[in-house]
Amino acid sequence: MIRFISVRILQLIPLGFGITVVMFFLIRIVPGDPAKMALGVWATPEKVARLRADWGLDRPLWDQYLTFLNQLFHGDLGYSYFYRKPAAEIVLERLPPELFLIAYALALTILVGVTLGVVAALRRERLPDHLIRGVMMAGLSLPAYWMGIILLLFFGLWLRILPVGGYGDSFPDHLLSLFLPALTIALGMAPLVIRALRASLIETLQADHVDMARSKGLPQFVVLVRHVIRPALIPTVTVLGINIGLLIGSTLIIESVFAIPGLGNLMVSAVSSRDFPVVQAVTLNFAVLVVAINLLTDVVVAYLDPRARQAMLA
Amino acid sequence: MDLRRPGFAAALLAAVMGLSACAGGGPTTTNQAGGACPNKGGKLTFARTADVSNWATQANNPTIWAWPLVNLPLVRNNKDASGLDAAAAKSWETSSDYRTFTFHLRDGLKFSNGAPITSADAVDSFQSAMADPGYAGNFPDGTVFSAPDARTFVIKLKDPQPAFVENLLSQVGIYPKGSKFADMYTKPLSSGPFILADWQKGVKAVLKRNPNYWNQPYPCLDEVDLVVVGDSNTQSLQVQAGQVDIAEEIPPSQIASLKSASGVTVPTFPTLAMSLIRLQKTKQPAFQDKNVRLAMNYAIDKEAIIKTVLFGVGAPVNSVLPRTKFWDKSNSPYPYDVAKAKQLMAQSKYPNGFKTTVLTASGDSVENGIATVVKQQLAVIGIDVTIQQVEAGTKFQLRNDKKYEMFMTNTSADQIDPEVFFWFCCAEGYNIGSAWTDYHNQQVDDVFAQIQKEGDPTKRAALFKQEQDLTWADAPDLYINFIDATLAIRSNVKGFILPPTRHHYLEFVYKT
Repeated sequence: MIRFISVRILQLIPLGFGITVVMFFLIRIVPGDPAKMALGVWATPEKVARLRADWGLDRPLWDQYLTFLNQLFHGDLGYSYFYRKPAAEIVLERLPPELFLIAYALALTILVGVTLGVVAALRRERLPDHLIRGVMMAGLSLPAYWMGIILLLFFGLWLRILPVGGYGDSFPDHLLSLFLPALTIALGMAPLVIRALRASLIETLQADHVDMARSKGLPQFVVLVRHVIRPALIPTVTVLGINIGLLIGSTLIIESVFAIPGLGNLMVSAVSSRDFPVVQAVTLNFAVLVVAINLLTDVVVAYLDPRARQAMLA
Repeated sequence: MDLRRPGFAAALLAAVMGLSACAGGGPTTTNQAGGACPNKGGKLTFARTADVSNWATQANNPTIWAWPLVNLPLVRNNKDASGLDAAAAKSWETSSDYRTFTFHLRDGLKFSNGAPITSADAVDSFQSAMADPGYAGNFPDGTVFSAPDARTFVIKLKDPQPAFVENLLSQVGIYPKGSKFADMYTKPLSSGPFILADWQKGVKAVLKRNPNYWNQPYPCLDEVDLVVVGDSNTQSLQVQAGQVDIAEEIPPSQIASLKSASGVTVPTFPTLAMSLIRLQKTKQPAFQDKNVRLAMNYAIDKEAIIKTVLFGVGAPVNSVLPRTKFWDKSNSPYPYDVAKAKQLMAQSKYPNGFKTTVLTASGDSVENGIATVVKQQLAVIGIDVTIQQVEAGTKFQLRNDKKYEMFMTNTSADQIDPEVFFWFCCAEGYNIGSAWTDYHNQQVDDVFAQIQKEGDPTKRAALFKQEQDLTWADAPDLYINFIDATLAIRSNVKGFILPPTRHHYLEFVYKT
């Protein structure tokens, strides 16, 4: 297992390099001069040129990139043009709400997805299965923006039992404030988990080793836990891993609707103001999160299924 | 002056070279000095679409509007943008040659730490501001600041500028002598009604009452929290739920339902902003033809746009000027007259019409709603418009590079005197060719040269009237509506005013 993890980490080195290239050059392709944006359109060309020189924007792109890499290796993500403080500091301030939201959404997804997935598989083609699949289709079809507003209206304004957006100041506040955004995300992701889990459970329930376990007289619960759930979880974990990666990108909309001070919100404002260091720092964080989750997914799958471990190493 | 919508950019500082306005001196109104708070204490939560970028300079609209909360300029725009109020200066004089401006500071002025504010602090602050990139280009070269005594502050310019005080001095704060200007960006030592106690950038700014504010017993509130809520729908829900006291921006479509919500008032305030479509005359030669421009203005039903897209909020534009001082309110908007528009097109060099493109910000429902109506109505007179939606930052860059044909935008005056705005929009100011449109009219430029030198208010008004008549007959752009700001405010919030400049003067606000 240690060898597996080491190989996977080594494979990330070229990936990390590619990410730095893409994120550095992509934002610079988009029209918009940070110095002009900072100074306003009335600024004289001399003052714009001076600020560009101060920020190193007058140097060739490759030179700027090398400087960026050098700073990155020293843990320096640059200085925000807009907020006038280190970009890493700004990102660190926004990271806790981001991670809290992702973890919360993941927990709700697993809770809802695994429970309903197991019920749908065990009650296959019966009323609970049909109901769950119906709700699942609705969850997949409704856009997160609309779903978020409806949840806010219902729980925040009509019932008044949950806050209308925001992040709160304490841990209990965070739990309450982030419940609706996490639920909005979970309602979008849980159907994918339910579908994957239901399909693999149904397949596993028909496997020979399960018949064998039943024929030995093992109770249904034991058969499920020992012989069905573990193999059935493998495709589910993969689906979940891929979708968490997508979820990190989509938090942008959720954070906007629910006024959560996460990285998605920061990214939008940084792109608008062409705050290159902050855009780079946020992109890097997103990239690290996605890569870490993919790695974790591979490790979990490898743990659950030794055959997969061998295949990945090969 | 072209605004960016929520969360973005640039309402701009007014610059300053060669400006005009009223001579003489002294405040035109007073500033509620020595009043009383009907109720004292409490916290106000104010939901705003975007955060302040720094607390010292006028970087963009969200920054400009919140700036007076922790800063005390020498003078400030009054609440209906008709003149200036005294602030740090209790009075001032302008020399007859419009080169020397003398300010008399109030007695007993203090910073929030209790240290006295003197004219030496003002000299140092203005010199720092002049050198700061945030004020790039705003002070003319050769400006000299001096402090003949502890309460007198003098500014001397190389060239005469009749409107110097109105155009710039409400935008520079005073900080302790020797302090680093850049430090004031994030940790300003307050001279305004509130102190910045905590600032989570992009999230929330917590402002506490400044016990050393000159105008006691104000502010009435103990605390103001400026919270960033980017989505206007969420702002609207939060104010209804009582989670915030004021929502800065509510979607036009929700105004009616909010008005019927309990515990919420929905006042509308006029602003110095307008919506229009800029016409780039070099990129699209058809826009050089005056008949084409006039035809376009007659072909658009402004009332219908206000009714359907803006849900009744706003008024048709009747001048190239926003509703500033010297705005000609007697002028009429271009009426919706398709027959006249067709006749003008027939008289133009483009009787069979032409194809063009209008640039809008993606995701901006108001801009795109207006653009859709414009597209349909211009098609009737043979102009085939394609709507091109781009990201807001990209849109403004394309404008700056003049790589557009039609540019949907909001524009606003940041000063109550319209000289800077007029220079920007119509008299080729800032070397950008009349707000990036390449509009040129020599007669307009000639009259403007007179305005720059004229300090007499009556003569100045006559010259601005002449300019408005000349440019309106020329129709440099396609004019839509004056913008009114609609806010949602909890009913227990009293004393709130929103001046047309949209500055946050919250010291008079109290809660019941």
